[in-house]
Amino acid sequence: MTASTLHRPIAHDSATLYVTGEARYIDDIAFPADGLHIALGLSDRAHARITAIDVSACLASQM
Amino acid sequence: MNSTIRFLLNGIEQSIDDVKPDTTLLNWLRLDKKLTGTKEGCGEGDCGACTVTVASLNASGQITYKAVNACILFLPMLDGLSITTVEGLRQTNGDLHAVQDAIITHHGAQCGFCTPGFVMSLYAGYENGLDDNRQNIQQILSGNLCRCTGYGPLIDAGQSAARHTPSPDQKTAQIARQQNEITYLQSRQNDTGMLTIETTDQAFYAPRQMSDLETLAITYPDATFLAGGTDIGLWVTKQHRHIHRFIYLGAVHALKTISRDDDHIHIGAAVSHAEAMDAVAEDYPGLTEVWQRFGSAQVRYSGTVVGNIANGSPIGDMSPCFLALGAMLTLNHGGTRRTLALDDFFISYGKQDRKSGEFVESISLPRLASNDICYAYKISKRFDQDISAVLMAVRVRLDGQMIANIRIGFGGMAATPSRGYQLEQALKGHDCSQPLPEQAVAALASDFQPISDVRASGEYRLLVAENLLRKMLVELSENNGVFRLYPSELPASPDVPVLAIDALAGDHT
Repeated sequence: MTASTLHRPIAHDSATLYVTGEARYIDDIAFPADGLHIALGLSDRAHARITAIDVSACLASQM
Repeated sequence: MNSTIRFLLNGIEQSIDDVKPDTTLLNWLRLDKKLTGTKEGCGEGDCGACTVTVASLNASGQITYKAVNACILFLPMLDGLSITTVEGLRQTNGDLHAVQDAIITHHGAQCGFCTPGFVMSLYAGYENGLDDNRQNIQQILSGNLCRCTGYGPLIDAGQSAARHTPSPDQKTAQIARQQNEITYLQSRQNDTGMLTIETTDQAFYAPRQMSDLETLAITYPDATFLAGGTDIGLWVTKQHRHIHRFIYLGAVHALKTISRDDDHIHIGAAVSHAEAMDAVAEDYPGLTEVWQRFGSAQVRYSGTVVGNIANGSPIGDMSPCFLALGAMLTLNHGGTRRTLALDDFFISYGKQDRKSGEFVESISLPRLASNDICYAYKISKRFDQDISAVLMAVRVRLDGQMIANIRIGFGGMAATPSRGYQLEQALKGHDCSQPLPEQAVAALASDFQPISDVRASGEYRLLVAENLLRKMLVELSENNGVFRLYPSELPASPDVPVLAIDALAGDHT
């Protein structure tokens, strides 16, 4: 019979990656050439029905 | 003249040309070297996620490791030094360093983002010879913020690493790594050329000789003097200021010294807080707590004592201490020196008595006589790494129980660090075993009309200053072997703040 794992400490899954700096976070990923950016356009109404979305200003801003 | 920055990075020499002189070490590591283990948290030297170590040789030729914030260090400041990042700790056989093992074993990482910074602070401590005392570990980690794991496991990890006996393998790896660094640092120690970086719109000069510094200061009176960069770094990263011309003081040999004569201790403009604190701790035991709470370990390793004064901040913690001591500054203008009482240096907010082309060469602290006592009290919201709401420092000369002479310096009470001149007069001749005299309270309010800001209200600052004076009297009379029962002295008037006195009384019953 194998020993129970109950009540025994287990190291964090990513602990070695953390202490060596090898864990990758979003900011650690190089930005790809010609990558697109996203910006959120938020509604100014908390509770409403969306009847149309006007994206003409966004499209007009494209290089 | 030399325009190439050269330093050791994880044991390998780097040669860097064509770089903007205000490029931070952090950006260079992450963007150019793709070494992304060093993280950017705050970008202003507060959070410690970007901590790396800088090794250099001390005056006796031994290698010492300093934990520093890479986010506010400019690349040219590192010329001739040895940098280690979290990527450099693994042994060649892949084994982890003792501090890395300890953090894993003690569950010191949860989200992991701050972890490389903690690893590097502990690494600096470990390599310098870590003491397993809990307070010592807390000091070492004072500049690292963790928002999810909690400090308990991290301090446990530090204590465990300090008690760890390295395996023969680990010992061999450590010696080999240090020897490589020592050899490099020795080979760069006697460099002579002045590092000069000139781009189309920026220049950086790192003179080594005092005469070169004097000439540069006169030639470019609009230049920005840079020492530790713990303030100027933020001008660049947070205020996006474009600094046209840097004159770096950190490579000038003569500015790195601490010397003593019969009356004074002289601290050069390139001496860090950590170095000064170690060197004069026994001379001014009353300043120890304030110095230990100054910024964080990283800030004390980088920031200079003279820089903290020369930039004239109204809330710099050391200025009030040095005002109380009666420090003198030596200013240098093209090799012509003048000395100035620190009191006369601070003219008004942001304005100091420094002529164009002149720089502060050193500060001289008077040595205390046997009947001199020095205290300093820092009031802030956090123990470590916080800007003071009020800082009060005193130097008292006692004649029996009588205050024969007293100098009191305050920070946070006015637009510059200031002495309370009327207050000092009101306390002269006072028996320190007696309660704070009413005329001293009035004099304090006449000396200072502190402003209200995010740190404290004006009323609070004045009240705290008053209570600190009471605390000082208690400590003075204790120091003098006089013990009293404080509650009997509680004033009847409800307007007088009794809370602070009660709290003090608790210590003595």
